[in-house]
Amino acid sequence: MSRAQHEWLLYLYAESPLHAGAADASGVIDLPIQREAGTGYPVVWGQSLKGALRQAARDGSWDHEVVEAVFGSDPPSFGRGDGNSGRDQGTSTAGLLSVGDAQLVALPVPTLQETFAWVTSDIALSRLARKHLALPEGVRPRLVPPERTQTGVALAADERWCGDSRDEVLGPLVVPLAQKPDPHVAAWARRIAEDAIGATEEFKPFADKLRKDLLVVDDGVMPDLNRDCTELVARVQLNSGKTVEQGPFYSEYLPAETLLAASLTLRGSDLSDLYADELRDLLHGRQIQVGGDETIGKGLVWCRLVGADRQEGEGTA
Amino acid sequence: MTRSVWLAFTPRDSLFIRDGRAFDAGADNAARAVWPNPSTLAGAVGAALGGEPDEVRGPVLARRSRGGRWTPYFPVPADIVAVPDSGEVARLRPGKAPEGSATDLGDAVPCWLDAAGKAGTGQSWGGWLPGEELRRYLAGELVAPVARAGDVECLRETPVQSEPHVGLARTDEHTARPGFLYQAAHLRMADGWGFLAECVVSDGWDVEPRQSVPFGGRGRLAWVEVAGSVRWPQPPQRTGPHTFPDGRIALYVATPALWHDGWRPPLPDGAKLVAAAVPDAEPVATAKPGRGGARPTDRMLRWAVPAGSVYCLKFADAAAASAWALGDAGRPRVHGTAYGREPADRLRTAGFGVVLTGVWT
Repeated sequence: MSRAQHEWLLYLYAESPLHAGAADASGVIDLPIQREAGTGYPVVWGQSLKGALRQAARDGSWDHEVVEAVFGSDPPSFGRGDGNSGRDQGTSTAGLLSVGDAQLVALPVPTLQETFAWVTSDIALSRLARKHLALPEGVRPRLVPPERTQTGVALAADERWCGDSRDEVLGPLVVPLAQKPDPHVAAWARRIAEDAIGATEEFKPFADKLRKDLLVVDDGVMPDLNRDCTELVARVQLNSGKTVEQGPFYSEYLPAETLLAASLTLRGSDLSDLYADELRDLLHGRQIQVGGDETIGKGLVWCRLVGADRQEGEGTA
Repeated sequence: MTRSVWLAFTPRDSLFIRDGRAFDAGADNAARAVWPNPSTLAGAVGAALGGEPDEVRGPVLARRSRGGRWTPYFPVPADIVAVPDSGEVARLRPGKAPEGSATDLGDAVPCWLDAAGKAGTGQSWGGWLPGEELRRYLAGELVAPVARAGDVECLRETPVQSEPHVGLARTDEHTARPGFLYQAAHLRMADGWGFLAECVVSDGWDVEPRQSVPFGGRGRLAWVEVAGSVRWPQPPQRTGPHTFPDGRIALYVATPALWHDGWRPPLPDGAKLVAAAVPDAEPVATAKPGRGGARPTDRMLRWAVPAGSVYCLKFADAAAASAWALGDAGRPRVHGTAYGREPADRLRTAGFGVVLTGVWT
């Protein structure tokens, strides 16, 4: 029986718009999504993702003891029992699973050709490369962010985005594109397509599209796309007479097709191999629900675990 | 025999480090994270090395270059103040208290600090100095006694932002659990920033840290790496008996200090405390990790002297000051070590009260 620590990279591939709600309203947006304080990049906080994974485990009929061992104890039952809010302090456990923030890998951005492209950035790829470092040696991709020689010029994975003096509309911006495809971007596109989307028949068209339609913009362009290429939805609440009772209020969503990635660490224990198998079955290739507005179909994401199903040596790009 | 190894910790996500004050989901609805304190870092070091080194000294804020070189940053000394509307900064000097004035400190400090006639000073400048600039400060060369603010290489913005997170417990029926909505402010470090810790280990210890370890609460993790070529800012150059002219030593507090006498450090034999610049005390929590993943126990909240505090000490002569600060045949140096507690005290070995020595005029 092994007490080994397990490290995975969890990809989230949005099937429907995703609303992981932030703490406060932001400007005209009543219900903004979670963003990093320093960069403004969209994120799903580790605590929110861990809650979603815990819910998936409950819905997957895991034994209560296993849920508690992996995800930790429920919050103290304040108000339900004897009123002593601190009574659980000595017996509650933190859980074996550490869930990192799900950071943005690539954002679907409207374009004039091919409907949309996945756009990523130097920062996003650098972070993904850093997350790879946590993976076991045998499944660790060895990719580095592409070298940028011209400020403001987007790099493309495929030649259909390239040409002499080529500009492309990316959401609200017109961005110049490099003359030739970048082999590093192409390698990243292949890796992300395989890791995040997979090769099954249902997903193959999108994996093929990602291999061709991945663009890398620099850190001067990406903040604008992060701000302007999310979805804003106005909603109202009707009364029984079908007139507006409250609203409108505006909710922000990460669009469908968004790709995010989070590091998962399962601490070693006598049963860690068993728990690792349970997590793999729960998540790899499965759909879960993350964030709010569950009852109106939001927040459905496909999960894939890197480090879960590949043999040693396959991860090298 | 022992040797020194520096480890660097780079948070993988946002940080959530508590100050030890109680927070119960369901009873309280807001919490905020604090700057990692020495015990936080010592715990991470223990996890990284698989055991406790003889001593840990940190945390030190640091930036990693693309080439992997770490530059330490230290809080601007509290005796450097901004001169309003002048674009200048001044270093406070001990001086006589104004006629007829009194303090509630009694005779603990005989002198007040003023800024050589620069009326209106008194606002701590704040910010962070890279190690080389702090070395110049210790040598009395950085702000002597006034300088243009632009001539001092100072990081004005802390590379950490507060990031409010909301949390909500849910029932098995996918509904919100009443009373379990809360807000917690995490800390988000800018890319490329982390914390350094000097680890004093036995010579025979083969230091191979784990790749990532828990750092603070909420299962947050940090990358770990060995940081080569890092060291504490050097003390003033030893030039015979004149390293500390007239026995004057500015004692700079590099990590939060927990001294037996509150804000006042224990004074070495023959030394007097002339003046002090000590900002507001900061809360520090310590706790023992629970067994088998259980939550921490034996929590303790204390109030610490913050990093950046400065004490002006006066020894009998330069030789006595130098022997105390830099060590001699019979005594270890004080510069770059945790000061004020017994060698085996865990608050010392965890890194509380690391001090650096410089000059004052």
